[in-house]
Amino acid sequence: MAQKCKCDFDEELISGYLDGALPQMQAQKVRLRLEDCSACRNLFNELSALREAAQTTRFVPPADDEWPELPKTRPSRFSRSLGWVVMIAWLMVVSVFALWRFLTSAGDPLEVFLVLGLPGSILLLFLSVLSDRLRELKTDRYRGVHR
Amino acid sequence: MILAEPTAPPASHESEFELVSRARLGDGDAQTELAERHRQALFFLALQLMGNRDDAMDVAQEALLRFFNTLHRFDCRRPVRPWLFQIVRNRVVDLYRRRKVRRHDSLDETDHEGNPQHVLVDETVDPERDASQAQLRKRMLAALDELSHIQREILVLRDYQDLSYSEIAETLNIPLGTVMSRLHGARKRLRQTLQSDLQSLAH
Repeated sequence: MAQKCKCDFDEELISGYLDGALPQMQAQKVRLRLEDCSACRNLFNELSALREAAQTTRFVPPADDEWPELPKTRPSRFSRSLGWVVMIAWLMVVSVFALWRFLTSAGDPLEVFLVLGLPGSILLLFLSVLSDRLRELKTDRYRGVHR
Repeated sequence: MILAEPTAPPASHESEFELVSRARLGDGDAQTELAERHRQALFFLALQLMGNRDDAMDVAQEALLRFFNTLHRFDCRRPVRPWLFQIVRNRVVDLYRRRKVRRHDSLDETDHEGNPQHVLVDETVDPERDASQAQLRKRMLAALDELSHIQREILVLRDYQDLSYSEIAETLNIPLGTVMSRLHGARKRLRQTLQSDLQSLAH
């Protein structure tokens, strides 16, 4: 079992000292502590060994020909955005107009079902997927992970 | 065997600022140059976070594509690598989220001949001294799987990728003060797991 410092020294500072991330005053405080306390020194040595092990691990890099070629992208954001806006506006106008014309002229319920059945069912499916996604969000194990 | 160089970007006559500015205008050569500078580091980060080589290649490639597609939002004066690391890290989280389970493939896997799959063996160092070091490196890769995702990513960014605290804070989008406490938590857990290896190394 690892020796534990009995004097309640803040171990986080030892970690910060190892990374050279402490201001001068705190670094000096840790330096003195390491001279006096064998448990703290032991902690520092072990953390150093772990860091050294990580830094000397070399991973196998992929060969150059393993990388797929990147597609050449040209800035087409404006035309793409404009295209989406025009298409969505067109769909909304045409849908509302067609629905209005249809409801004011159609009388046969079968005809109404045949025309509205498909878009209505797609809408229901969409709403069902949306509600599933919202439910999943509540139990997401990575919710606490900041983006 | 030749060791892979550390992941610092190679020196070049053309500054990153100029390259990013050109890539922003759709210059394919600048995009290729940027991709070649950073893709290996992105691959290593993804591999260290996930442990799977194929997934790591996909994530690195997707990160580059996403970077080029969102270059209009990128401030050219900032360094590219933390931004790219942030994309890789978010993509890894998305993958786990989509797969519903956290499935890290182990980084210390060996092939059918018992050689490590992902790690290069440095044959130039003193074998006697290196035996316990190599053992610790191998055990450490296995121990990464026992950390939570949050602990693993901060440890990878600091100890494997050698990012500064401010770069880590930027990559993970957390306050600078949180970096030290979270990192220490991860190291403490790792130290507990590897206690016997650390003690044998000390003797």
